[in-house]
Amino acid sequence: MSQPTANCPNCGALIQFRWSSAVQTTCGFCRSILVRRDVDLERVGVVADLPPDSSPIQIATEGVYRNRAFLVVGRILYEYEEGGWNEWHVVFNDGASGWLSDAQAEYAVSFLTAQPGLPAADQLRPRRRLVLNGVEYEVTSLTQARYRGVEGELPFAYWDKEAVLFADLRTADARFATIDYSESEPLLFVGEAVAFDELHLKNLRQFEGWS
Amino acid sequence: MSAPAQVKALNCPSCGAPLTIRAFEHTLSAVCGNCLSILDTKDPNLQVLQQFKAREGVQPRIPLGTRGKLRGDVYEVVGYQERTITVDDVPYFWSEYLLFNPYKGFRYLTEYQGHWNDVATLRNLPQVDTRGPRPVATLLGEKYYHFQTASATTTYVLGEFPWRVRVGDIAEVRDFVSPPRMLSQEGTEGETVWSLGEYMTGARVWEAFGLPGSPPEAVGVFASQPSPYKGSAKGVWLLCLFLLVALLAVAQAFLAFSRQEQVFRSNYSFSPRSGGEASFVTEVFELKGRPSSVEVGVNTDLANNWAYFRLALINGDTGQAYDFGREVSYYYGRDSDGAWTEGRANDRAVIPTVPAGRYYLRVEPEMDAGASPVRYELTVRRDVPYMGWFWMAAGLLLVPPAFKSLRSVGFERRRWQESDYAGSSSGSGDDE
Amino acid sequence: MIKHPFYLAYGVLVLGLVGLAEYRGWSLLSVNEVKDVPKSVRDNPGAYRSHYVFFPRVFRGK
Repeated sequence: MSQPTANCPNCGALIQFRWSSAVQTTCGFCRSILVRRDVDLERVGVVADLPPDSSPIQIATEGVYRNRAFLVVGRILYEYEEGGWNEWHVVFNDGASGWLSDAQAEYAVSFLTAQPGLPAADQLRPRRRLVLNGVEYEVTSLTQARYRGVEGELPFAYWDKEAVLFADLRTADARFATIDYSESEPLLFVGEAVAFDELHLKNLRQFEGWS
Repeated sequence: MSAPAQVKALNCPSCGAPLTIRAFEHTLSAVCGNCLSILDTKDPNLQVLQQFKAREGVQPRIPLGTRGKLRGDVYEVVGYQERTITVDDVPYFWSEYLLFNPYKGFRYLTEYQGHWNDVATLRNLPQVDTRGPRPVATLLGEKYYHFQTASATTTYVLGEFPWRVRVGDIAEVRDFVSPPRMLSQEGTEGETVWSLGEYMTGARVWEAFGLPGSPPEAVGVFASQPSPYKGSAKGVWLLCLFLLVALLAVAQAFLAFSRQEQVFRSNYSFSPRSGGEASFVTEVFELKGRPSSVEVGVNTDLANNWAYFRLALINGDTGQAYDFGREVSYYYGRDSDGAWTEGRANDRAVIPTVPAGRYYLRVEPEMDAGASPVRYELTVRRDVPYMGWFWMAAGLLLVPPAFKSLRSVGFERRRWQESDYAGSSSGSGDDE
Repeated sequence: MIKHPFYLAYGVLVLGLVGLAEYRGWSLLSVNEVKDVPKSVRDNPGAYRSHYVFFPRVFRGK
């Protein structure tokens, strides 16, 4: 698989992409946020200091989801009133892009899914039921979150967003969905909650006192 | 790559005592064990969120920092809280131990009166059906029956938590049970969280955490405590059925193969008024075969009268006699409730284990001096099955399963006594 | 069945005892066994006693 390369427009360092379709990435040396415009990279900002967090996943962690191997290439760190969580951007061998969320060590894998006719944010309340693609979900939480930081390769430009409302939906059989209300059109991500062991993760972060 | 996450050592801003933060960045609040201040660990100044007072000497049974192995993974005790509910003005509290593994996340160990539960937050959502007499939650095809709904207040905290804990926090908790599991739904204003717990004995907890001494004794029956009787009840009754069928077969066999041979029959009459010797002997008859039973029958025409028969079965050759007495009485009449009868005009007595030989009966009847005469027939039958043994055997066979079922019912009754449904019939008849 | 070995053993014991009781012709009748009833009882039923002591044929003394 070809791994495209480019040079950082700010400091000239060599940027090696782990994912060919990355739209945004960060320069490991000068910490600039770089967005791809055709062939060139444009510097749009600087990575804020990411707060320390305790996700066992890190960039370059590898895993398997439903018999498909993936690589962690980027992340978005969100913060809300009760704490924070990570959305790890994962890329599969066939180039498909997905999200592995890690919230207090509760893991879920989801994929951006086209879905017209999503309800507006003010129409949702906890415990309300919603049918998406023939499956009935129940709204479990509505969260006002802030972007706290980005790292690595992401599928679209994520650098100038501030606050976002997320609606979490679940089903009786561990299916999971999130509606992202940060854009003018709500975005739907559909997937399922997974157990840590099911992902067969390798190259994980180390914790003091834990082998 | 991220550097290895570090365990943090802090000092309480209130009293200076040292604190250790074990759950890395997950921790939002931590309690200073010395002055009972709850600190905001995300605040660089460790702002005091709350300082609470508590009764003396609260010590978690599993000390903070202890590690143990549950479900194949190592967890560390990082937090402890006590939560209280009030039922009929009586406070009950239980302990919750927050367990942490950096890869697997958080679990809980709850303890109430010596009963332990291994609890984790659920990924799946149970379906709750409130249509019936009591709500039922279904998860992955298993039915959980509503046990209790109560308002739980946090009354004591120690260690650290991934949320901003406060003494005085109230949450409504709904418990559903399907022993050994329990589903709990906990709700506050914004969120409803389901968790699934599995019953654990103190012994297993002590073993998992390598704790010294013995665990606290379990008192009473816990909501999700598995019954030592259920599950085997069905098996025992099935075996009982087999044994009863076998008993029936044995009875049938004896009924079919016993001789049941009538070896003597004769008619007599007795009149108490005519004096003279009442006793007499019958002619000799032969009893054949192995030593077996002998049934002596007396069929009378008694009406509102009684007669006593002194009987002896005597072996003419060996001089061995089997001596016994039988009273026969039969009364009848009418009263306000209708016709009634008392006693029977016919009687049967079975003499045990009589060897073969030539025998006769010696009979001595007795009645009231002025009673009217009685006519009666004496019969002797050889090798007659004694039905009493079969009934006794059936009773004996039923005793163990009945006893087991009784104990099971008693156990379930004690379980549901703690629920919102105490006083009504024992919980669902969900026999395993 | 194998899950309840004690009950099975108990049941087999009960069945065994019932079989034995029926075969041997046991009953619960309270019978007084009297030995050595003399043949003279056939001629004189009134002289029958429900308790006999064996008198040796040879008396001591005169």
